[in-house]
Amino acid sequence: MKNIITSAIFTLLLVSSFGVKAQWEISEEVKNKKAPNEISQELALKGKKLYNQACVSCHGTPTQADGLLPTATDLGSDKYFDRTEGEAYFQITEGMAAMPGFADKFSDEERWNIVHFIRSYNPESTVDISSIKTINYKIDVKLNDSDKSIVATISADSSVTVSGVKMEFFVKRYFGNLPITAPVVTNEEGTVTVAFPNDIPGDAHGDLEIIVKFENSDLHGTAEFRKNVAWGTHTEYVDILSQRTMWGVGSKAPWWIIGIYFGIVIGVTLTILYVVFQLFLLKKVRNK
Amino acid sequence: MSNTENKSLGKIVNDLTRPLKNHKGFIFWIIFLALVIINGLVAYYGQLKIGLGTTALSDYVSWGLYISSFIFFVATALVGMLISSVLGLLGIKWITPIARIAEMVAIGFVMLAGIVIILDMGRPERLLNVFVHARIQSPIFWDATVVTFYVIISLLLFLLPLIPDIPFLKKTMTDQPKWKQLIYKMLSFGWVGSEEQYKIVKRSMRILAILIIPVALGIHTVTSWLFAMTPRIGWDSTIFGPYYVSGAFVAGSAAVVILMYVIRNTYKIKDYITEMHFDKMAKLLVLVMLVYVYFNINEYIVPAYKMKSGDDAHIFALFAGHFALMFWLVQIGGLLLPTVLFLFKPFRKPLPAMLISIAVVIGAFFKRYIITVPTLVHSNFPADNVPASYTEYWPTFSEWSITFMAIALALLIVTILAKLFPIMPIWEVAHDNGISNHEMNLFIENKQEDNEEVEIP
Ligand code: HEC
Repeated sequence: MKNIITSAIFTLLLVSSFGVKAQWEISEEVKNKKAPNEISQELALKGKKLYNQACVSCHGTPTQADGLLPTATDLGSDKYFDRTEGEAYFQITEGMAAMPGFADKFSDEERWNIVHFIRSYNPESTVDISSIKTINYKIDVKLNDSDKSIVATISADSSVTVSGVKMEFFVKRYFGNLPITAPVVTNEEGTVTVAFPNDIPGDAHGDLEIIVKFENSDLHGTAEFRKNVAWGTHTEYVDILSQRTMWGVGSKAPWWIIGIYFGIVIGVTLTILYVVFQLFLLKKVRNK
Repeated sequence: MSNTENKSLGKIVNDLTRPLKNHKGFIFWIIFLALVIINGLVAYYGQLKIGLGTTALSDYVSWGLYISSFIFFVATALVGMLISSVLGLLGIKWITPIARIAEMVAIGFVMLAGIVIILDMGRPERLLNVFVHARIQSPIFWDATVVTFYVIISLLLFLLPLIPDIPFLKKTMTDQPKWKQLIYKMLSFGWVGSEEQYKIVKRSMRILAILIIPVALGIHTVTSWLFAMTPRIGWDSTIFGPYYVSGAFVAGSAAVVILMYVIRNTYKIKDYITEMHFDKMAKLLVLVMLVYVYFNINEYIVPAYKMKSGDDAHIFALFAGHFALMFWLVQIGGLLLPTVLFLFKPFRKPLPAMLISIAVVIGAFFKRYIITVPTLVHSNFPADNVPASYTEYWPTFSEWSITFMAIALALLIVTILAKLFPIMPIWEVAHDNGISNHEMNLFIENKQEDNEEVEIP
């Protein structure tokens, strides 16, 4: 029953989005609004991420015209290329009819990044990110136990330069990743070498996880390297809750406090019982 | 009493049992208490239904009027220990006629202290969890333990000196309802007034009088630890234990003075509770208030001199800020001024002593509020975007209603005890008037034979 209602509502929505063809009302001033940052590969890629989260379901992948809602414009088609960036920004921010507004969901910066992404499909755009996703980067890492050095070599399956790329090196910690150096730039061969510090705590066996990745993985994909090595110092883990402490649970109370508490309780109770016993003795001694 | 002429046993028995039969005006007092209690019950029904949302308590101020009155109740109850134990063990004679009053206050108020804690719970049906998941490391658990002990010991300290009075009640109260006589019968424990029985009662009283001193110190020290064991501004203090205990003696002694006055006038026993008793109690109050003033100076001057960050905002709120009016009213009107006034003899007369004591008790009540609330309106941790409502607290009508209900219940307990039993131990008063145990036994036996007029044997 519930499903029927939901689908009925959805159908209604669909029909209304077909039927009521409202119009965008966009002033000249809005149209001429400029993005705070120039379009760049980096920003457009950030926008792409957000687009894939929030827009792709209705609008489909740009240029593919595969969106769920037929009325939702394919933003990579030539139907859309005549819009200015200010116009796109306004449309994403405010929404109209079946198109939701995203003012509350995304920050200003994020909405501009989405605009940059959409506009990267424009043939006049200086930025083209369509080629980027086809490159597959690979990170090969050699861990030298002798001098605890990490040698990372970056390769790509197409002829892209992998020199001059910033690489980051981390050790995985409980609440996040600890960088062990500042980002290091690959040399001509696409290789970087860093020395691993001697004083990073590992687990009981000195094990820890090393992570190597691109400084900006938006730009180069998510290729990363992770491996456990016994390069850390040995840490004795003490489970503080398994000990008898003042801060532990009731069943883990320190013996001394249990002793004092029950010592007092028993002492006072016995004294009270003695007095109560005396009360009942009164009757016995009435004739003395 | 020693300076007045010795009274006969017949007169003593008559004077002290007459108020238990004469109920003039009593009914109005009970109706008044009942109305306050019904009003509180209605409010409590709302609180049970809606939850603590009917109070002004919030994330920050989670201890408000209820916990303030909890400390007030515990504090007032401590007077039982001060008068019947400390002064009694010191062999001070003038406490005989007022020791039982102090014990009644102790019983009524400490029982309500326990109940107020339950009133402060949003889900009282989960009360048992407090014990099921008890942490022996927690001061709250110690507090529950020691309050229970104090109730038991206070009841016994009330009961023991009552036993030798029971024969007098059995004889004189024959015209009273059956249930009353049943109570007297149950409490007689076969008392016939033999030397051995007197010995047992006196020894047991002595044991309890000694035992209750550490227990009473414990109850209020542990109550103070509920605060002092947390590292919060205004509570994080090493002198909180003695600070609370000395404050407790102030509240309790003043409460006893008020009760003495009321009982003296309604029971018409002015030559038992005499002007001398008010004079002595007022002097006792001067002593305990001076000790309390001394602790107050330490408690406020030490942080105010250093003005550590955090402390500064707290001290400012008390001295000149949001809580200044209440703070100074409490400190001056409820503490300093009464101390000074009691130094002068005219103010130690019954009526002025009673009026000043009312100011002291009201001051004592709001003093607990001043200790509890101002600390809580500041966040324990650095916090941003705190809703303004978190940092404001003033009890709602519902909270006041429930609190007044608790006070009325405590007074009801005191009233019932004072209407069922002689307000002071007949036998001890008789001893003070030079009447021997033998004479008392003869009196009881005589009366057994003819039930007409109270005769002097
Ligand atoms: C619920 C489905 C839905 C989602 C999600 C959605 N849109 Fe739309 N969008 C529409 C529809 C339908 C229209 C057409 C509105 C009209 O013109 O009636 C539209 C129109 C637009 C337009 C204007 C197109 C034109 O022809 O002028 C832009 C730009 C746009 N959307 C961008 C986005 C972006 C960017 C996102 C993600 C942040 C997004 N939309 C998410 C349904 C959606």
